[in-house]
Amino acid sequence: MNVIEVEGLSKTFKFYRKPQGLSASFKNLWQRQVEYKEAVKDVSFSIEQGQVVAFLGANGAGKTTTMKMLSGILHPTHGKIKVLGHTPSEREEQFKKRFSILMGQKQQLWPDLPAIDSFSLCQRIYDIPTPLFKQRLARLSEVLNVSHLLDIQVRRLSLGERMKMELIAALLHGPELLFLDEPTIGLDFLSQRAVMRFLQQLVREDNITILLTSHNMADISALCERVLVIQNGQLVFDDRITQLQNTLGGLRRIHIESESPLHSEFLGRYGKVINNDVHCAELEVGDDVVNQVLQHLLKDIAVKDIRVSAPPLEDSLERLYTRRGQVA
Amino acid sequence: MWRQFIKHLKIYGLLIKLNAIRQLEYRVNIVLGLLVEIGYLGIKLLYAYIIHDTGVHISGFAPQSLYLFIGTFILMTVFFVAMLQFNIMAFDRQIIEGEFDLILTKPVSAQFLATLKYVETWMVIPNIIVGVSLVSYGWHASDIAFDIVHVGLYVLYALLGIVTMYCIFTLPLLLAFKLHHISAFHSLVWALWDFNNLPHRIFPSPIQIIGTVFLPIFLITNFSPLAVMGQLSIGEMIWGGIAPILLFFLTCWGWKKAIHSYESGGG
Repeated sequence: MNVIEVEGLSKTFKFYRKPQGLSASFKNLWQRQVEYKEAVKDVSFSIEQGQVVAFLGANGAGKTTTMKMLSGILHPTHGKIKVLGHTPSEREEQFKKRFSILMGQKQQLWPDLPAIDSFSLCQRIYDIPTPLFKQRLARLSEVLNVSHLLDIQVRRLSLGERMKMELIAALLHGPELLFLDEPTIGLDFLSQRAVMRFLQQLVREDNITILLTSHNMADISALCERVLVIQNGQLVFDDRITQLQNTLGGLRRIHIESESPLHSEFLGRYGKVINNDVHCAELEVGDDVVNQVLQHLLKDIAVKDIRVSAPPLEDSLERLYTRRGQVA
Repeated sequence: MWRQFIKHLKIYGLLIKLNAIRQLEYRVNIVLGLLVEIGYLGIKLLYAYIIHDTGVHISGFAPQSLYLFIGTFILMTVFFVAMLQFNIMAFDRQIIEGEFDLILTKPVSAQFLATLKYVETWMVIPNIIVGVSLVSYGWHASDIAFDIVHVGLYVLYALLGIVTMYCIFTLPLLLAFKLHHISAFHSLVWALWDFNNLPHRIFPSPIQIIGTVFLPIFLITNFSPLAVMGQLSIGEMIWGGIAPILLFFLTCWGWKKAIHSYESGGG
């Protein structure tokens, strides 16, 4: 069953251009140079229940705009959207009770109050019965390890702790669909891992559908099975993560550890040397010649250890953006 | 409809409580704020005393009945400050910084959350005490019967006044969806509000008509004391009942139109 169905989605924004300087500002008082930007152009895709999908793209590519249209914040200029069987722009109460949106740069908790007070407001807003509210709060705060922080003012919590509280606030009403817009932005490594581990558990146990935007490839690799890549408002890739790495040039990385020193000049004969640390080197080769290169290397070098992997997701994306004329 | 009304009323009750808790976190701020409020009240009371002491009748109103108007004005100021002032001040910021995005995704009226989220609690206490005292004194001194009819009439027009106040000060906020910055509007709000300081009968009749019919600012604080003093004509009584309802529907309609074209801010 499809939770999200999008067909021919477009969004155009109007904006003004103002040249530099005071005189231009005065001129701008009575005559403005109006321009239009197509933030999202003819995007179509669907997402099934229980899928965790990454929504990737460079800054300004149209990810957040699309997410805002899916959650009913923005009205689309053209196209059809069905989310959980509802049209988001109609902003029905029943629809709003079935999803949640978490934006890493915006907070819904009151900074001057302990999180528990903001949660009680969520309970009232979402009509959550008290026993269910208590049960969910206990479970979420335990899993996220913040039970001891519930009665501390939100503004006194660390960024990671605050994000965990925001996650709890977003999940208290038991949404079927979760929109996450850069949920780990600004978090340290440990907090990022804690949030990601929690989301993995959530997907496993609650079969929740997640659409996630992030610039952190570790988040994406850890959580998502499918990737949508948007560029200049257009959907340029929609497939599994592994497919993204395979289709973009079909490259592989060979990691070699050797008893004897490795020479870049020698390795360069077989492929692109990514790095060479005398006894350890990383070589990028075409997918079709991997076996051949491996045979040569094993024959010519005193190999201590050797393994083959897909290139990092960042590299695949960079190639995708560069190929389409835009560097991330 | 009724269920929704009760739900929103309960949420508003919780918002009052949460705001009271939030403000108690800053003890010194509350004490200083209360002192400033008492100072303002002292000036208002001095001004009321001078009017009373001169014994001059203003537009046919005896000096003691003016206390009824001034007391009602102070009580309505309580509602204005408690319910609206901080929401008005924070409104365009919500739009510019995209805070409104999250409000739109909540299963309650976005208009309700965006315009009534902040409630000033402790600082309005002196105004409540003084307002109630002045209304009681003015009521007694004007020989108005203290029965269910008169009290009911006063409360009814006061409630209608609160609805009118909400609409008059919320409608211009909708411009924030189009213009984004509406800080200049804040000074206009205060200028308009001060028109209610004295009975509107003291103004020339064109201003009375404008302030009653076209921009019904005078309905906010004048109609409840005038009603109990028997100074409202039948036409005015009917208009005092219809105008707030019309304004409320106009505000809700305008809100729906405005948020339809909301373009979100802050990325």
